[in-house]
Amino acid sequence: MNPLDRNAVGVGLRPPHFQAAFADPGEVDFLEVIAENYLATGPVPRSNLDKARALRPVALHGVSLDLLGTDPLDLDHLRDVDALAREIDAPCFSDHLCWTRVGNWHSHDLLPTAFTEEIAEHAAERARAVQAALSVPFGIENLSSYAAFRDSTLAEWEFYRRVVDGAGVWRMLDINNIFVSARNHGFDPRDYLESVDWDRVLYVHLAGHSIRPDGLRIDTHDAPVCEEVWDLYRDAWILGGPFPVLVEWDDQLPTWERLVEEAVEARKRRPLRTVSVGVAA
Amino acid sequence: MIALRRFQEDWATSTSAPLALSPDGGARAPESDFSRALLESVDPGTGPNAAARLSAYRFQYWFRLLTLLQKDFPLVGHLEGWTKFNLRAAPYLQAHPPQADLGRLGSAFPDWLSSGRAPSTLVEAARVDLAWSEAFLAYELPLPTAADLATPDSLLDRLGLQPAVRVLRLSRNWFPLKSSLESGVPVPPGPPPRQARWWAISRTGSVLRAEPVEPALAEFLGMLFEGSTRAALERLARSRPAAVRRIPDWFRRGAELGWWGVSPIP
Repeated sequence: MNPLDRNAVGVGLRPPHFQAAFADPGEVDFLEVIAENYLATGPVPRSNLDKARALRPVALHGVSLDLLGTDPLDLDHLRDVDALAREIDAPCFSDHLCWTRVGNWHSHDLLPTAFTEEIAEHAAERARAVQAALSVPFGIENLSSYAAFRDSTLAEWEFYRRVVDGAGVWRMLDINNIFVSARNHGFDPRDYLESVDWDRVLYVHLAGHSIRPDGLRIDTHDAPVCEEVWDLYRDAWILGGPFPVLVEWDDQLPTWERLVEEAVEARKRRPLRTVSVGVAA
Repeated sequence: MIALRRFQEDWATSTSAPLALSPDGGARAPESDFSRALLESVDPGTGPNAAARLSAYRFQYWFRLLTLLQKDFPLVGHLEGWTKFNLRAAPYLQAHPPQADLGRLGSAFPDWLSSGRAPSTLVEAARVDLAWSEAFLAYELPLPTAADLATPDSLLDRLGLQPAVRVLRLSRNWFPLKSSLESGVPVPPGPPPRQARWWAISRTGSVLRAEPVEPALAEFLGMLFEGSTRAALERLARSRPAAVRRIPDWFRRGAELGWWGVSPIP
């Protein structure tokens, strides 16, 4: 069962917004923070997380799990994440379907691989281990990417489905990422949406992105959600709503009030679902 | 997963190769820096070619690291200008690639600069920048109460310096310039004093401050870094017996500046 209210609307809470958010969190139902910032060696004083938790439920979002990596999973990291999740009573934890490091090289980025059955099984096995180490639901976020690979034998959405279903975990579905990848690789984002098992979506991410002069879309989280992503969100809602939604903004941050407006916009943009009612003859 | 591992190692090598400078001062990611195998693994589809797609990741990698280092070393960047700063930072980042904790990305930068790679003024500025950012990120021990400080004997084995405290010997007062850079209004550094002075950096809440300290106090703070308060007091009594009478003043001043913390473990 989804730990969040399916009509909930949330915002990613970043340190520059602490003061304004703590003074008036506004019309948001839940918050999300980057888990690594608050672990033992994290750079953000933990007291801020306690203040956030006093206002709204706080979901944990990770950036260093390395599900597609080839080094052993960092079990100490998972233990720390789980302890933090318990301490703040987090509804869930999510991280990305990507690799982040190899050997001693830490990219601090979310990197893609080819989409093959073998790699999907490898990632599903690691995701099972992650869920086993956690006491909260674990969601995997689909990646946005700028490069696709000749070795791929699966569509991205099929690869994602195999990992999530194979591990028996949740989806943390990022609609902006679907759109960015679709534009960069030339697939129809609606094909992606139609593959989603909406009962297993923890929540949906929305964010802004940028476009390079050569046309490549980059997942920068530094702008408002664009109209095309809002359209895709509406389609997703028609296909699978209601689901919780959260707006992320990580660079060129606007004011907290502006960010809350974007979340309110996500609430407004939800279309009324049309339900077919059979009439007995 | 051998092929996946090889692919990832290849990616890491290519991505961490420094960007080249164009004649117009812009950065480039030359195609020749990517291995043939990596380029051939990319399906370019109908858009930008393989090198352009891979370079998006390479630019992000370098942009992220250089931005973080620039943020941590504003004095160095102000003195040198950001183009020169980046030219110094790129080889440093190659020699000291990021680890899991990005907060420590610049921890070896001052020492790296000091080994013949930069003038002493720049090295000193880097040490100030590093001390400042380390102080900002340091964890905080519980503060002693007024009653604790009134009877320091009972606390001697647990009282110590807050992890944020840093002590530096500097040829000039960098802190007005540092503050003005943070507030966005740069001012030139004042003339260097005739003699170097000791400074203590500390943090209360999220506010950082720097205070000049006399040599005996700097020495005492240095002793506190190395051992317990009890041991530091004993060492000070041996090395500077005349300074012992200053200790109550130092404790009072330190309490005002947020120097002291109480370890939860005796």
